[in-house]
Amino acid sequence: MTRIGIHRWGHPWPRSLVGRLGLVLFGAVLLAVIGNAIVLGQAEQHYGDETQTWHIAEQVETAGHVLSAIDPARRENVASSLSSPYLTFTWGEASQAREAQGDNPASWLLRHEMIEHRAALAGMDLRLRTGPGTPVKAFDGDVRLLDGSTLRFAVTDLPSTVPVIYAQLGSIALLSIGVLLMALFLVQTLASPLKMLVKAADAVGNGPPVFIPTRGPQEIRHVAQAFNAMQRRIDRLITSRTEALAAVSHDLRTPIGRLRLRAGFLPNAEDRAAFDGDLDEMEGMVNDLLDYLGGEEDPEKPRRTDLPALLSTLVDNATDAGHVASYEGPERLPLALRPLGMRRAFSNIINNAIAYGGAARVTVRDMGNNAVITISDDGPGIPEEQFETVFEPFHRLEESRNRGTGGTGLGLTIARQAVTREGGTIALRNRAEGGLSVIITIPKRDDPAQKVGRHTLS
Amino acid sequence: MNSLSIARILLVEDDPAMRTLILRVLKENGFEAIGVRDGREMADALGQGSFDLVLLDVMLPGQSGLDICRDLRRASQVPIIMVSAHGEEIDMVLGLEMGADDYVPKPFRAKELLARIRALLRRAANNGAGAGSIGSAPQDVMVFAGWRLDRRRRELIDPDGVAVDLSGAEHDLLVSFLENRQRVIGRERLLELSRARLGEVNDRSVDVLVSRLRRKLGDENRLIRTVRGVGYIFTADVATL
Repeated sequence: MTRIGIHRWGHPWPRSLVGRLGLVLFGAVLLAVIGNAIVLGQAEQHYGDETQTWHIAEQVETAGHVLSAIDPARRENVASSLSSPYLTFTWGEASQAREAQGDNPASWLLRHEMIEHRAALAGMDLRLRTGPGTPVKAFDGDVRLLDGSTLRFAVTDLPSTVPVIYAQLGSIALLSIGVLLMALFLVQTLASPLKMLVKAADAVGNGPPVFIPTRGPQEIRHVAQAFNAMQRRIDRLITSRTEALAAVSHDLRTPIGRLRLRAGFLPNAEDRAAFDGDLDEMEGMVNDLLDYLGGEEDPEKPRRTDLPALLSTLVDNATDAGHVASYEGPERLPLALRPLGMRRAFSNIINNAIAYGGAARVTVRDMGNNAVITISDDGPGIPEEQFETVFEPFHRLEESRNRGTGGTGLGLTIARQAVTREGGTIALRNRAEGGLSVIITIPKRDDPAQKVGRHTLS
Repeated sequence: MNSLSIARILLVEDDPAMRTLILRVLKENGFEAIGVRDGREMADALGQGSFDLVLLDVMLPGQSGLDICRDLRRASQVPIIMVSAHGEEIDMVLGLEMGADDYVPKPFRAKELLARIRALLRRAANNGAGAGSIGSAPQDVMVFAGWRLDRRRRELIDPDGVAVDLSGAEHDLLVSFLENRQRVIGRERLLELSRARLGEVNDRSVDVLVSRLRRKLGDENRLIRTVRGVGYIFTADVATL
């Protein structure tokens, strides 16, 4: 409504928030004024109805005076000629009996109104009778003339007087609600860029920077620009830190490599083993960090890979190292996935199961659309409220920290990254028999591109 | 090269500390070893004497290890082991494609490096002095019964085009079978052939390894048959691409 008006007047939609809010207020006030004018106009009409009553009072008084002054023989004719469509006069002889004043509030109110306007009517013993209900649409009455004869009058089609106030109240309420809704709608359009800002701010830190469009009023546009600039700064900061961390991790491999060889020269076998153990741990941390930092832009492409073979290799490696590990499931199950990434993921989970649960039992089930891989251990499990936090980077369970089992707390984070890249899910469950189960579901995408490279020579 | 005991090894490594350490490892284990810093020094050293093996770092100042490897392979059949700085597959694949015979990812243990060196020297000796397939990136892709083994990428593909993961030891065992197809191979020989990859090998671990390989080959067509009391025989025809 207001917009249309503004377009008609050729004003541009103001750029500043203050301007827009001002315009909204102006629109609201304008609406209120227009509305008031309409309401007051109606009130005037009702006011006009009241004066109509007064007018009737005047006519009755005048007719009374006129009839009193003329010859009784002519009175009947004159009375009818004084009548108008809504006010009918009739004259009656003095001998005729008069009806009593109507005994309901409307009759008394009407009589009071008329007498208040023409006091002479009181002297003429005005008696009024209205219908029982409100609003009063019609009434009749009579006055006594000087010679004792009676002038009767009947009014028809009188507009109601009493509910006018209520009608006005209703209009004002409707108008107010209308103005309020309009103002809310307009303020809403102003607030929507702010909501976008809130959404973007919420998303910061959960992935790549979210740049918001610089739209809306000037002030909000400035906020958006500042917000985007802030995100660029944060992104640069994170990138430079990440690169520094990756560079250091990478460079650490050189001294670790030297230490590996130096450790080999130690005369004492126990020392050699201890050095090797520490170096394994350091190397694991460095590799975890590099996997984690480089994991998001992994260039590896999915290819059809035999899942049982991948898992068997890991299980066999674990048993060769003297751990308890087993594989149960189909002998063959081709899946389109990134073998290096998924091997890393499975390896991390199997290593966790062995480190914290003493065993890694791997089962695979072919569920038609999905392959479900479950890796269970015999450990104490983990509290359910930690099921989400264990996937967060650098998170480690309290007891694992105390036990000095090492690790960076990146294993599950890397695993989830890899599984998510395959469009799969990873979930945890404490088994009723004890121990933790990690359940990985990977969709069986059939990648036709992989079948082209099919080789059959026989 | 006549004997393993006095093999001459040329090490190309730019990091002085690392170079000293590797030379020490090699010398303490009975090799004659000379260390150089880069490609130019390597060319000088090769001009002055002959070597049985070149140990080549990927990350070198100036000309990269990969380029040096390619140039060296064009000129010579000398066995080459690349030392990858990142432990990333891409380096390994590239190195093998440039004509290297094997690779060792950094960081490595002395034991692992020595095992690779000995295995490669043994392979070179078995293939006849200099002339054999060693050095010319031998039999890159081997095809048998619809299967396909890419030795450069250490990749086994089944008849349906599905990649089947192999452990290092399984890969080496399969290569041993493919190179000695349709011949009975004793456990002792298999042990020797696979020693590079297995820590502590014994008869039982060879049997375990064979059963794992059979499972991965889905061996209902009996590609690997047991010869009771002797060893195994790989039955299928092998084509080399």
